[in-house]
Amino acid sequence: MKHYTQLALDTATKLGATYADIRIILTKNEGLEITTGKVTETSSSENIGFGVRVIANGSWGFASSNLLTNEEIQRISTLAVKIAKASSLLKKQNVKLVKEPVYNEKWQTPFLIDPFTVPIYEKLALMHKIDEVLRKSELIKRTVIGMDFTCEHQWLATSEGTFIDQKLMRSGVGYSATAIGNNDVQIRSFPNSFRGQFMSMGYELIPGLSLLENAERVREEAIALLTAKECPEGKKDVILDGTQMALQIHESVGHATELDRVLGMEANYAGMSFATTEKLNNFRYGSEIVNLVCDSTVPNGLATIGYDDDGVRAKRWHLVKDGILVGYQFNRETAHEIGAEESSGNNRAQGWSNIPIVRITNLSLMPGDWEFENLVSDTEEGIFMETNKCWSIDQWRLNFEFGTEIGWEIKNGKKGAMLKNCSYQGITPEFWNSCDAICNENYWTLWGVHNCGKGQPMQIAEMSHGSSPTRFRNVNVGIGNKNFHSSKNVL
Amino acid sequence: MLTEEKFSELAEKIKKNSPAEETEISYLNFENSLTRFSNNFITQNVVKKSDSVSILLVKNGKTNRVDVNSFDDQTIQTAIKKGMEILELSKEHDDFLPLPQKQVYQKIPHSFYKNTATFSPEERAEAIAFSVGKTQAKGLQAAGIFSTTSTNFGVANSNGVFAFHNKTNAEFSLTTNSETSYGWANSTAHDVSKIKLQETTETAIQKCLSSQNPQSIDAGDYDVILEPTAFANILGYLNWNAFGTLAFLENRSFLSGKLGEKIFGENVTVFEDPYDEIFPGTSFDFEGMPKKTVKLVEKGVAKEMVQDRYTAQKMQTKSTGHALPFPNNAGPFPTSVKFYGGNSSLQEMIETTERGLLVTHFHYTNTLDHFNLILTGMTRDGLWLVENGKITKPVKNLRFTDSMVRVLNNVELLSKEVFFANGSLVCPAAKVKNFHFSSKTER
Repeated sequence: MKHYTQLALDTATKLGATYADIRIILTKNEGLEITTGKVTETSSSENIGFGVRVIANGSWGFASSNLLTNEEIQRISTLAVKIAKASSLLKKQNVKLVKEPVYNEKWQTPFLIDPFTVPIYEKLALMHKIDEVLRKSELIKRTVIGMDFTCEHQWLATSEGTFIDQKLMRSGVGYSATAIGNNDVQIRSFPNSFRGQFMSMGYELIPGLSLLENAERVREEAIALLTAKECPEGKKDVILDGTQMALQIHESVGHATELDRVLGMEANYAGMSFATTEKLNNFRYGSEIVNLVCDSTVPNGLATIGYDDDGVRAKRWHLVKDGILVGYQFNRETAHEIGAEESSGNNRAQGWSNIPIVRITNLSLMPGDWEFENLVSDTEEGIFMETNKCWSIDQWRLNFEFGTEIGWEIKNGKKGAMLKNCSYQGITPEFWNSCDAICNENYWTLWGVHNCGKGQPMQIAEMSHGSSPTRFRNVNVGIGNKNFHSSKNVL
Repeated sequence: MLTEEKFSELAEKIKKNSPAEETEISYLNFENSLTRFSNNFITQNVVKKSDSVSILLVKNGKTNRVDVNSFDDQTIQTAIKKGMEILELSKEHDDFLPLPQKQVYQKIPHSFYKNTATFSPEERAEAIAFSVGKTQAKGLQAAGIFSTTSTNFGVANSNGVFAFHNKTNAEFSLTTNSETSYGWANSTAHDVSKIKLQETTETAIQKCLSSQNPQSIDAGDYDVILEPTAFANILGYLNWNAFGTLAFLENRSFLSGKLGEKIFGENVTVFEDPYDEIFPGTSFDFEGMPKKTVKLVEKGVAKEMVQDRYTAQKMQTKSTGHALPFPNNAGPFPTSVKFYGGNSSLQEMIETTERGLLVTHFHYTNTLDHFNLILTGMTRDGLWLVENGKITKPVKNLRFTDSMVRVLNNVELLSKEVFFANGSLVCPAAKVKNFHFSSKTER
């Protein structure tokens, strides 16, 4: 690969680039899916290509191609420089990158079992077994069981002398059961919704999740939801399970602290952020027990890497410490804007065809010291909500409304009736400041988000969020349920 | 990027090398050139390319799909060999239908423009500089994109199907902001020379200037005037949630069991029309079946569903050319929706409103309840109070939570003019009574 990477760097610098990098990426994917007993996916793919990024005349240019030949590398490198020069027609100042040591390294996701060596029939056999349990009731009208495996081999070379050979392995699995009856449709998922749990690891993820053991419970919960009580509309204390907390962290902290968004670089599409730079080190984001930590070194995180696409080594830092905003997520270009001397290592691209942009890394809420049963018994009137079903947040990352698959009434410290159509709404800092209890490390899990979209052109990235059940006081719940559900007639 | 001729050669090569009983080859290529700007300068400038071939192998009722993005002999042969190995280990599809025979396709309105495919980074930068200059002159900041995309899509199979389509798209999108306000507008076209640069810039500037110092307003039920993009933001959710035929057949859709019934107000007529002149789609689906125009809703009555060959068999009808790649668990759904206009105009909607809100567009809309079509989302980039037939003041953004069933039974007026909006469908502006806003913000 060094022959190709050197050719790109030489071509770009000869044409006037003051900085250049090339990422060559070979990605292998395998996707399996069974829907209501039928195999609906047994796909495999291999995808190779490269992207060249340059600074010329003080501006960025980027071009990419799937054709890995000398001629194409020269053509694309030339095009990247041409694009950068066009960008410089409308620039504020020259792009500057904060310093980063030169690395010549190899890094790879630690894993025990290469998922691509496990026979497909073995994977499908487990999926069929789960499907059989899920469809034991006639009320379950649809089941979906999926497995996904990705191996991404990246070679990054920069004109500063860095050369990184990095191999990332990711595995995912999950299932859902949809019950239909009583003029209603309800879904339950395991281990998480939207295709399940994803981690940076090998096939060992699959046997470690008790997939078959949970299928009966998932089936019965989906059925019970058809006749369950509606989530009441009003103000309640809310306990969110780890999977919903992951979504809460992702949307209301992760995106809000991406420095490119804070600086307005996403204004036309994904929006901006209320967490503006004058708030750094003095803004109370949450209550004193709220500690939110970024960590691209944590084992099994989907954003656990050796180096980001700027060639910055993985690291760990606080975004929120004892409730105060103390950090952002950024790259070598935007670091200057907050006076940082080094990048936080958040620059990542989807594959070879996209330019790296600031992406959320693994971001977790540090565990507290509560046992879950004590948290419930300490709650007089509340709702325990599990498993995300819907998410929406405004362009400032302030006003959010999220829905969950299932909820449980809590009355006088006891978990009671099942609730359906659960949702809650809040304003980010008010909500995090109402956080008064977090369960301990025994309940803490890293939950993978494998479908985070951002940017124009749109890119998908992966990251994980560690969390345990957490309580928030006096939250708006059951949004719109009086209007739309209680009457059983949306008209 | 493969031309039609080159795709034909590749498809022949794959068919010749395939030991399967039947083989289907689909080709998807796009090249997207996009310049992005914010805070009045260019921040990102890229050419993104994707080129891939998907091969469906069929033998004894078993199938397997392999995807590659290199088209040399060795890569293709290795992929087919691996694909056949997996196929042999697979179970039979008990309802598999043989791949289609050769088809005839209806002519689609022209949608490929060479000037768009070759539009240069310098031309994009010049257009952006013009718009930013106008915005800065008014003391505002500009952020947005100028983008051009070329797409080639082809399907061939061993039974004689061969279809190929190419098109170009261009988009200019602009967000403007002052200290206290935002404005937004965009323009899309197949031909880049049809992009309305000046008009889009002026609209975004005007929206920003007229929405300065917005006042707080309570959530609740309001009559709303939805500009075309705002209406398209929420209508787009019907495609999956209501008009998806598999969900319909599995009783997961609110439409299930309601064909022939009046489901929306009488002024609601929705067609799937890939041959519409305003923004045509493609004339064939992922199996190479010809696309047909489908009457989804006429005067509020649910009429027909789009079909692939599998759902068509279940509903004892014919394919309308809406298949996704086989196998899949999503089923057919419309991709070229046209919501018919009425006789009104945006101006008339404002003049006939006693107390309501004018909405530019929505942000991050999502589905809370698929069965009851309940959506939530935020207004953004310009929201105004309308009182006694006049826009009286800008107001702070609100979150809506409402059912599309209720909304489409409460449409009071539709504009005569229709637009390609939200990059997804053709629709008019609409005035809707009693639209439910569930919470507010201070931004």
